[in-house]
Amino acid sequence: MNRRNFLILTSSTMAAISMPLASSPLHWETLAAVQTHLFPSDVDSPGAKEINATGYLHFVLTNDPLEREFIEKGIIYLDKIGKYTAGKPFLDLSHKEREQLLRRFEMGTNGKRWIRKMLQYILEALLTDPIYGGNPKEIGWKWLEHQAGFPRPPINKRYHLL
Amino acid sequence: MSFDVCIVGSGAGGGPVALTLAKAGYSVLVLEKGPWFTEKDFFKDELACCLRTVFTPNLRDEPHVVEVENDKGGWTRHSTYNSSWNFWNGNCVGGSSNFMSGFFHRLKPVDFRLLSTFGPIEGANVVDWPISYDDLEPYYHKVEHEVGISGKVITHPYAEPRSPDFPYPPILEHPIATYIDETCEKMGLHAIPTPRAILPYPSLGRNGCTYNGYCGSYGCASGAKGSSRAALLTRAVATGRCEIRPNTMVSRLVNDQSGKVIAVEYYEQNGKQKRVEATIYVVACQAIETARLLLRSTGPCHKNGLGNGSGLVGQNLLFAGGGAGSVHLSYAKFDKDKIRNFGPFINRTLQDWYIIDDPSFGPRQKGGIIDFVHSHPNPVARASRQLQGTNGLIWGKALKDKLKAQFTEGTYIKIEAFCDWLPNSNCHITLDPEIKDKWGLAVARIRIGFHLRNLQVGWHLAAQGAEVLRQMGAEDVISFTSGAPPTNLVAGTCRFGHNPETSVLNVDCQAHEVDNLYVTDGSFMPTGGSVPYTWTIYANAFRVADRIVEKLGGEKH
Repeated sequence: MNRRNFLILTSSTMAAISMPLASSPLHWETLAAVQTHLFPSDVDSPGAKEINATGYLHFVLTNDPLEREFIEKGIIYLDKIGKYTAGKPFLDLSHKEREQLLRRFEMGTNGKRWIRKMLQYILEALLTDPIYGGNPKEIGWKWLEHQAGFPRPPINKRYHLL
Repeated sequence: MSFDVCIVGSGAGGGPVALTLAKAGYSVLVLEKGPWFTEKDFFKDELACCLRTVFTPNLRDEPHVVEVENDKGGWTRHSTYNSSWNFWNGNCVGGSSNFMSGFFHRLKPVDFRLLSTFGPIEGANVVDWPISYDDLEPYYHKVEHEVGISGKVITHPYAEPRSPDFPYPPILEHPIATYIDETCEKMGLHAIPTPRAILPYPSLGRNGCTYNGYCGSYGCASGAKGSSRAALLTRAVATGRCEIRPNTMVSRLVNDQSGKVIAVEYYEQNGKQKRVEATIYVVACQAIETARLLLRSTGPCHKNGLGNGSGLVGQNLLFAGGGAGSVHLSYAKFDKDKIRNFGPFINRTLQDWYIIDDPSFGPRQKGGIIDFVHSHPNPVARASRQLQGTNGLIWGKALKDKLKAQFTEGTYIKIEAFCDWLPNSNCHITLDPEIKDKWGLAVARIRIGFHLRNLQVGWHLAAQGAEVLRQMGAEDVISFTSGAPPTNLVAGTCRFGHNPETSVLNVDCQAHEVDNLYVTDGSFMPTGGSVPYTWTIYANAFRVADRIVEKLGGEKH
């Protein structure tokens, strides 16, 4: 596929894909792999796995149907492009191939918006209060020597309950 | 049931009127579009305060339309839904005053006389105010006591005349303040402790500041911050004569053949429409929404909007002009234990350039103030700013390295410079003919034209502030200016004046054409001065409240 066709595909077709959303499970395994690629674990620092980025994303999408739709369309489409260009689903790609695919995806307006959102939710999982499911045992705060404010939100005063 | 006074909006413009009138014996109804939160609902939760729509409406339901100038000299429009703009600043009882950092300055005498002091500026609608600083001074003083303002009077060339010292001493300060003081002294400048609408210790039935470092953008859990809710409305309600109805969206001020307002129409949360009557109606929804409400409240005598015979409702919208900058204090150079200390504000302001009298800059002209603050501590916001690289998004190990450096290798200090946002004919509110909010009401279309002078003065001030920090030993010093408005500092749209043809409100902030309508938020300001508006809004609302009491026949006893 040449660059032009790819851009057309990523910027316009993505919005047009429609899926039966209510019944289809999100592609959680693939989403988790994307998160790990965007925010890898290291010996001296937590990655997507340690900060529970996937669990946190699940919390966010459960409370926001429109966002769930956007993330779902994105992951389906990313996987589709991977199969089209490399002949394999995202999960079977090498690190280098994943990087290439995501960089290509970033070239489209919606693709960039989708990756930006994935990164945003990773940073939220890293640095928001552990009560939301990310940042377990304040692992993100500790890594970045961050001092939280007080009083901290109790379980019954999380933002979606206010 | 009919009330003596009905106030639309419960922020800094509504609170003083509610308290004054209730204390004087009158029945008051406050209609607030958002919910009624209290100290028990405020936590240091970045998701609630700043990343989701808890205290402001969802922009899917209630956007604004913004118009900015494009390269071809035309105007490009977009809805704030899915853009980075947000003009809502706090929709709940107490309004945006819940979320301020209490950074309080008075206007100075010269701000009431810009036209006669400096002459006209081409392309700007500069006028003198119909009142003087002396008229407002007693009310600035009143706010210090009613709201609770801490500070310390320092003599300097541009200090405004004032009543005796602040009722509360300055709140505790960050050790960086000492470095700034030492540097300013060497440079012959006057660093002053920033007055704050924050109590340093328990008083007025509220707790003192807990200095946990998360203030601006957050609701105050201790009650130390002088929001309209904590400082004024709680007391108004305690008189037994003030009722607050949260979650009520006012759709229209109904007016009849006489030209007077006869009722307020509003939606309850369940979508039901209601009506309520009062003798006097007060609008205080923050400048943009106030203008929007008046413009849509047409009637037999007000074809172009309520009180809009002059055509000036919505015109001369003001933000705050200025510049900004940032510097890095590295732990390699500064004592880590001292500057990493986290909690209190740096709390230093410079007013040495309130008037710029420097031939190399230009003719003697109005300048502004410079404030030194920590970069906002919200960690997700700080981290998100690291995502954009020069060649696309940053992720993977590169992102992690950048985060580690940003958070752990030093402290970032911001310079904030404030100058007048010159009123001009390309900065205004109209009703958008196409886009409606969830109630089917036309949203506000906001045209944001700025005067070049804002940039010149903002640039100059930010550069002065940067020089102070450079002399102090800061690194990576950058300062800049921008025509983009701070969306949390809004005024104008219903300027007051003597002449009904050139102003919307009279000297008492009563609509020239509507005998029983007052506007008490920042909308009345014909020029903005170069400090945040809240203290002036509080002071003026107390002044207007006294006029309303007089109009109703004085205090009832």
